[in-house]
Amino acid sequence: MSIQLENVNYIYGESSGQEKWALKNINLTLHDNEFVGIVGHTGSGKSTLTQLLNGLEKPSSGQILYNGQDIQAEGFSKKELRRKAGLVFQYPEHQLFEVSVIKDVEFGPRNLGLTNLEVEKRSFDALKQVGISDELLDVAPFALSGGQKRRVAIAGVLAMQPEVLILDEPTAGLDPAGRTEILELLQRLHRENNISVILVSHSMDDVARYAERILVMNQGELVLDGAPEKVFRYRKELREIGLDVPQSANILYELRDRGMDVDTNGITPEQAAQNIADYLRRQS
Amino acid sequence: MQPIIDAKDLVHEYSQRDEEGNVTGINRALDGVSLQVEEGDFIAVLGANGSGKSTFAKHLNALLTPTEGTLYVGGMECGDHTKDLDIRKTVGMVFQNPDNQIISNVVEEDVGFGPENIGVPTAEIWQRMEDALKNVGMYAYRKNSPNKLSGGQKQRVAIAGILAMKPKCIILDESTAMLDPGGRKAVIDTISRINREEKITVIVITHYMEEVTGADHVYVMDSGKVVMEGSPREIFARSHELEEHRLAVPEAVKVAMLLRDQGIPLPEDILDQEELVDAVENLWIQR
Repeated sequence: MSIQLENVNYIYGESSGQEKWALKNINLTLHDNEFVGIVGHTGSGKSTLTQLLNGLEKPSSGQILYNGQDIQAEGFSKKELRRKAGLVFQYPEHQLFEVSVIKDVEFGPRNLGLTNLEVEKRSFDALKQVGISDELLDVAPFALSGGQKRRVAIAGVLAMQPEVLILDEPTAGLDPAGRTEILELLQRLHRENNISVILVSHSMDDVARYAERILVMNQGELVLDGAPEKVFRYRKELREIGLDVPQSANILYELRDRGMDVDTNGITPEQAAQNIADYLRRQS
Repeated sequence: MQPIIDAKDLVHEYSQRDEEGNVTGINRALDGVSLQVEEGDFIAVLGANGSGKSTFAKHLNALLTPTEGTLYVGGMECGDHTKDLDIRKTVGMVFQNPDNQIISNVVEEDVGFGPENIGVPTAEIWQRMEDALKNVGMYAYRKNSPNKLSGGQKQRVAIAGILAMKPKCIILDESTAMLDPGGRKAVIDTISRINREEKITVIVITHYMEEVTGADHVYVMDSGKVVMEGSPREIFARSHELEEHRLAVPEAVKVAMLLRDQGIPLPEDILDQEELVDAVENLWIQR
């Protein structure tokens, strides 16, 4: 799987005379089996970008290639694209509608025209992957906790067996333990099932911990693209667009600013604590 | 002085019913909550999803009534519905979803809706609207349509709508959960200032630890019970215990905890990044 964006623009309200550029000249290649974090302010173009990736929205100009094929070309199956590039919206639990958990997850694969057996197998597997236990299969989705509902919604997309999973703020509104559960689930799907993950997030701390590559969006433009350790070296530039580096990185930079020669290469609490401990031990 | 909130052994049970209306199960969402809030305090109630914190909040302005136990709000007993309107004038509530609580097409009309409904004279409604919108920093938007505002701005308009009713207490029931970090900070800064300057009691219901560092007192709830209470410092020092209740300390507190685990002698009550950096600097100077 690869998704390539070439000179992609997205403009709202073109005909009304009040144009708003949601995306400006995006050039980008998403490779197979990557865990990508997309960060940026509300209104930076993150969500628009995710909706272009699976063909829900059409770029105003420019090309999007899925495995080298133009997704706007005649004869290209959008239906197939949406199966391969599974999109999990914000608050996906609002879209649960069936009478039981298992029926809700089966809805997608059933529409693919698979055999009953295959539909059931995929749905069971997907629910197992997200950690929903068997005794919840016949329960109404509305009786579940917030974190469980969200995992059921993700299972519904997984049952389509996508090559890439695109998630728009999948942890919004969850408590810290629920957030960790979802993020660990994504990491496991990525590592064990070789699914590419594209995670839109407001939390620098979360993307620092889980993503292998970070895209920073600002006012419709892609301003930084690279490994977390690299992207978070641009502390000043990130601040200028109102974003911050992860708290752990901030702590290291702050110590450095006060004259301590701490290794500032660290973006998680574990790394920060290690670097600080190493530094203090060197001093005594 | 009489506390503004006085809950004693509060119990709330939701019954699950089948299609015929027979009770099939009972869910004890609150299980013996006792706490008191003094007027003018800034209180935080922390808890994971499903801990009962929102059920508790909904009792405070009589949206729910106790199954057992007693609750007094501003000296009025909740439960017999005779004082519901007075209780709601005393305690105003901002909910989670900014889009579900704005009812008007114009910001200033939305803010005026509450006072109009409690019979405030027109001239005073305008005055209250102006004061409230200035207080939350949204006066410049008074003629705008609310649906063009960001989530954080909408929540500040919702706070203004409550301020205009002149309550003694404002509750934010997970009001920042759907906001981005900037919106979250603007709402918390606004409500903290209102608490300080107007002496209005504030109760923040949340699972974001960063939002409670400024609170006078923190309660932690789990499974319908208050399981921890104390100042933010006292609570944050018990980070392992917080994790058992599905909560997590801010990253700076976590780094401090990991350093202490490695034998670095840092104080136990570090609250934020600045305190951590200061403490590490002190160790560095000593060495």
